[in-house]
Amino acid sequence: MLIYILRRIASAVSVVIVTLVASFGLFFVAPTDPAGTICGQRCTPERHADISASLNLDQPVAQQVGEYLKGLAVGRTYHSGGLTIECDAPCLGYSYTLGQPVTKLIGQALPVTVSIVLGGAVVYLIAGILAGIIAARRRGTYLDRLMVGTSLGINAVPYFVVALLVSLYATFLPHAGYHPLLENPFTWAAGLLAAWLTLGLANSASYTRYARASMIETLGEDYIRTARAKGISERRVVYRHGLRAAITPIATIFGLDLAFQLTGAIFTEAMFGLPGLGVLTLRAFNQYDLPVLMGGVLVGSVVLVVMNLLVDILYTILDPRVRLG
Amino acid sequence: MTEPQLLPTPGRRPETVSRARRVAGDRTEGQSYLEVKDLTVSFPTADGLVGAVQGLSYSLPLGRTLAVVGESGSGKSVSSMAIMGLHDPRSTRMTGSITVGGEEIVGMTPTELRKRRGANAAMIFQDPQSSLHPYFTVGDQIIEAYRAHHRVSKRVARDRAVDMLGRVGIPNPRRRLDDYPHQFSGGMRQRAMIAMALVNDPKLLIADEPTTALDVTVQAQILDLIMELQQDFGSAVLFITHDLGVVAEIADDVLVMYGGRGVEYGRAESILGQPLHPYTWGLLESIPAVSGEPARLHPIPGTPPSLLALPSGCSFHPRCEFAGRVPGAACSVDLPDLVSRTEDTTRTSRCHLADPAGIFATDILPRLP
Amino acid sequence: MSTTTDTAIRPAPADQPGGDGTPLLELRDLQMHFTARGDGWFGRNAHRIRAVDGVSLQLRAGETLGLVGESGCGKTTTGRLITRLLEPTGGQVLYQGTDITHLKEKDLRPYRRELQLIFQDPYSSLNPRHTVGTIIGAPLRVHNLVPKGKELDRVRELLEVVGLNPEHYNRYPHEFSGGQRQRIGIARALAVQPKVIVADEPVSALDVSIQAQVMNLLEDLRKEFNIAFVFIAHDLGVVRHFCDRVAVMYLGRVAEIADRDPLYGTPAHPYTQALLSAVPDLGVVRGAAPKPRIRLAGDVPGPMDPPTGCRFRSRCWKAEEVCATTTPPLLQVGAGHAAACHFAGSLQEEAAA
Ligand SMILES: Nc1ncnc2c1ncn2[C@@H]1O[C@H](COP(=O)(O)OP(=O)(O)OP(=O)(O)O)[C@@H](O)[C@H]1O
Ligand SMILES: Nc1ncnc2c1ncn2[C@@H]1O[C@H](COP(=O)(O)OP(=O)(O)O)[C@@H](O)[C@H]1O
Ligand code: SF4
Ligand code: SF4
Ligand SMILES: [Mg+2]
Ligand SMILES: [Mg+2]
Repeated sequence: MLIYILRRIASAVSVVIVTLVASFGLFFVAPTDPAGTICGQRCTPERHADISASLNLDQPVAQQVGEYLKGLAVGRTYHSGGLTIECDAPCLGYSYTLGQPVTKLIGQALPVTVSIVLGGAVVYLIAGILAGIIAARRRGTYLDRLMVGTSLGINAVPYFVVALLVSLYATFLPHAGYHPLLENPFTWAAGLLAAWLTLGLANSASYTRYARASMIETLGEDYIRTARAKGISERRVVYRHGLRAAITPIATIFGLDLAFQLTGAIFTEAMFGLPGLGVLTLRAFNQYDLPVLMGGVLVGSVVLVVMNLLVDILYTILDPRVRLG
Repeated sequence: MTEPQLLPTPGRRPETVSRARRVAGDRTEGQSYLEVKDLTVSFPTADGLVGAVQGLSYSLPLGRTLAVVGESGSGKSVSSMAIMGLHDPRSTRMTGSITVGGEEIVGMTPTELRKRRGANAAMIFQDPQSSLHPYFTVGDQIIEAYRAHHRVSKRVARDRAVDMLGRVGIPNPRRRLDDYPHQFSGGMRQRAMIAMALVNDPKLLIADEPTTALDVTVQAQILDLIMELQQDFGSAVLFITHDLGVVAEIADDVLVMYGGRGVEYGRAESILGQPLHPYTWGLLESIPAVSGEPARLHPIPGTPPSLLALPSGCSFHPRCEFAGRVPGAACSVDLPDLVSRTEDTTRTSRCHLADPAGIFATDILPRLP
Repeated sequence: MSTTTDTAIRPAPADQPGGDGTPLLELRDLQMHFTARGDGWFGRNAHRIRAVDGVSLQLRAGETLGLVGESGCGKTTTGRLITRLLEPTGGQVLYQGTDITHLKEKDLRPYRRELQLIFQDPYSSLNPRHTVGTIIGAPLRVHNLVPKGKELDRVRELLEVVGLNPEHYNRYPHEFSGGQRQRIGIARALAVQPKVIVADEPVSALDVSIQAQVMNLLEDLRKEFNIAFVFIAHDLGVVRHFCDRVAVMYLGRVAEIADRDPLYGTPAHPYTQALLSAVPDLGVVRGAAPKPRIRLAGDVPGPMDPPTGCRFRSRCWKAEEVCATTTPPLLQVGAGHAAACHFAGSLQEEAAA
């Protein structure tokens, strides 16, 4: 088991490095002129060269990658227009447009996104799975059809409309905004409530259907009949024997969904004015802030790889048949 | 090396077993533990009403084994699930009467049913691989079954589970208790299922084709085990199978089902030795035996009926070779009753033939090996 | 019974001189070791599954050879090796004296026609989207067996041969019952006029009454067309009924091989004896002599790490020290009767007594 996990971690790390090098290639060797874009319209040749140098664009790619990795490990120093900027390890670069080290920017944005996404996940997992189980048990009834219909309806509505509706009609909710959890858990939760509801509502629709399908399949299994034949309560049959098996495929979908959302819940962040990772990368994209973009890509690939790893480990915990040894 | 396992027992189910059973049966002389009367189970479907079981009646006293035989779709499983109260009342129509230990099952509330399930009557199923929950340990599942009907601590239940596992012949039961089903072999899984079914000392054990998915050598072990446990527990066993060889091994009584109805009922020896219904006779003629002179098989022509559109009259008539022997068109018009047609009143059969014993004795028996 | 099936006229062993000496089909020390992908990304923990591990058999024209044994003993794999749906990892398959063990797909084609397979599951082995006519006609087209335009006539003829309504060629598999589907599978195999049919549990999925119909059909076909059968089954009654010779397999090897009557009457291998005594026997109710009751302990071990020496020793009540150290060869115990047990001869006497 331990060897298995170590091997998975090793391969995960190599995936991250490959992603990093590949995106380096794409961003920095692209036939565009990033320094020119940053420099703007009234750009003097000196300033252009200066920016190029500070981005290491004048060096060979291999060296650029080396510098970047070195920065990650021990930090690096930037010289720009006579200024010297210390960027401590792990240094992901320096954003000239924002005048801040990328590490610090991401460090501020990441907790926001994580708070939004995890809170939302709690909402949609509980609501979706419960609704799915109820629909599965009442399969074929009007309630079941109503729930499936509603879920399809919610999914058909564009996400920002859901967000809009929540912010328009759920006016009783506290004003949205991000306050760090450690300062005051109550204000933290209050500020995120609207975002959680939106994310939860929109996703619970899909999870209702996943859970319903998975549950219907499980409830038809022979071992469920065995459980009923023992004379245990129907609730125990459904929630212990049924859910235990039905949850496994849902866990896989959830892992991938979560990974995707963690790389930036752009709409939710933008609609509720929450300074998360999605908003940060979007701004960087518009302003061609390469160091920030690179940082976003790196965080994204790490999140994806880690989530994959977690899902696999979770799987071996959930399903004793794939447990090793 | 290995201990000798060649048992010097002389052949067929040793007589001693049957006699011991009779004794157990005598205690409840004339009084059945399981009584099924005029049971009808049907399922409304998009294509129409599926009459899976129609007018089924039989009884089973403690200490005896009744084998229910028939082709697939003849209603064997549906009728036994009805005894366990396992049909979903929302999608099943059930009439008639089932009494287990004197209590009426049909019409019981779900909660009352649940309390009796697994306590008075327990069931084991065909495929031990899919019938055990893959995510819980074997011990977990047995303990749960025990605690569903006994208010005891986990520790007590665990000891009981170890006991039962040992009882069904699993070596090292205390250690194997924490294994998952996939760590057991097929035969051991069925043993575990049996341990789980018997953990509450049920008076009635329903076994729905418990050995169909197993290899013959393992099947033999499981059949032995079921018979041995039946003696120890003195329970009634309802054994569902389509294998007449298995019937010969373990049954005291036999009920033959066709198209949702019972068509012949009686003592195993007499049914297998001298069938009185053309369908039973046809089944026996279809089996290639492992002993005796191999002869060309004599299959029943045609295919089993659709339950959505059962043939009129005797539902076996489109496949029956003897329909012509009944005067008029009675076979295709009137449904025969399940009644006794010989001096032996323990035997009943559902057929218009006036003297089946005579016909089979003169025309048929020579063909049986 | 057709005349070809009588033991008296079975040709002498292959190495003897004389006309019909070469068997139609011969397996020599055939092996099929699967490598199961292990766990992890690179399958580091891969292990070998010895599904078939040294099987030698011969099949003569028109003969029926039964392959019996418990689940997982390698019956299906042997069948697939014979029809070269799998390429063996060792040993040889000879068809009419030609080595076809490692032939390329292109060179195999003429043999594919003569070696046909019938599958166990009548539900999954027919393409649900094709009509019966297309299914049975496909091999005719592939092997260019009938002139254009005559195909339908041949399909009708084949349907009639297997006892189906010839006008049903336009129907789809789901419109037929299990037994009828099995007949369709048989018609498909017959279409190319094979010399050998490997039937892998052709009646196991069917109800007894239907099973008897299909068995009778197979028997008629075999007499009419003089087809040799390798008949795979786990039901010993069915095999006894259909086969001239029977090979009992255990964990990828042949434990015993003999003509039908000696095999069922005087089995020499402890496993065969146990297997036969485990079959619930109807005959007893009707007065046949009771068999000895042998009950094996435990289940068949997996083919991943079979016991050393004799594979059966972990369940054998006759096992002695030599069984763990030395693999017993197939010992001749009678005419055409061999058993892979160190004590085969003496055990046979016991059984006969
Ligand atoms: N492609 C494969 N890869 C790995 N293992 C295989 C493969 N095919 C078969 N096996 C294994 O080889 C062994 C023999 O399989 P085979 O299907 O020949 O058994 P069988 O005798 O036909 O059994 P049954 O009676 O269940 O049909 C089994 O343990 C099986 O799991
Ligand atoms: N829930 C159900 N809905 C509709 N038909 C059913 C249902 N359960 C069983 N049946 C039908 O009832 C018939 C009898 O089934 P069953 O008792 O399982 O047969 P067997 O004798 O093989 O055990 C079959 O035709 C089956 O398809
Ligand atoms: S009633 Fe008629 S059709 Fe039915 S089994 Fe008897 S003889 Fe055959
Ligand atoms: S060789 Fe030994 S272990 Fe194998 S079957 Fe013979 S006696 Fe048993
Ligand atoms: Mg059934
Ligand atoms: Mg097979």
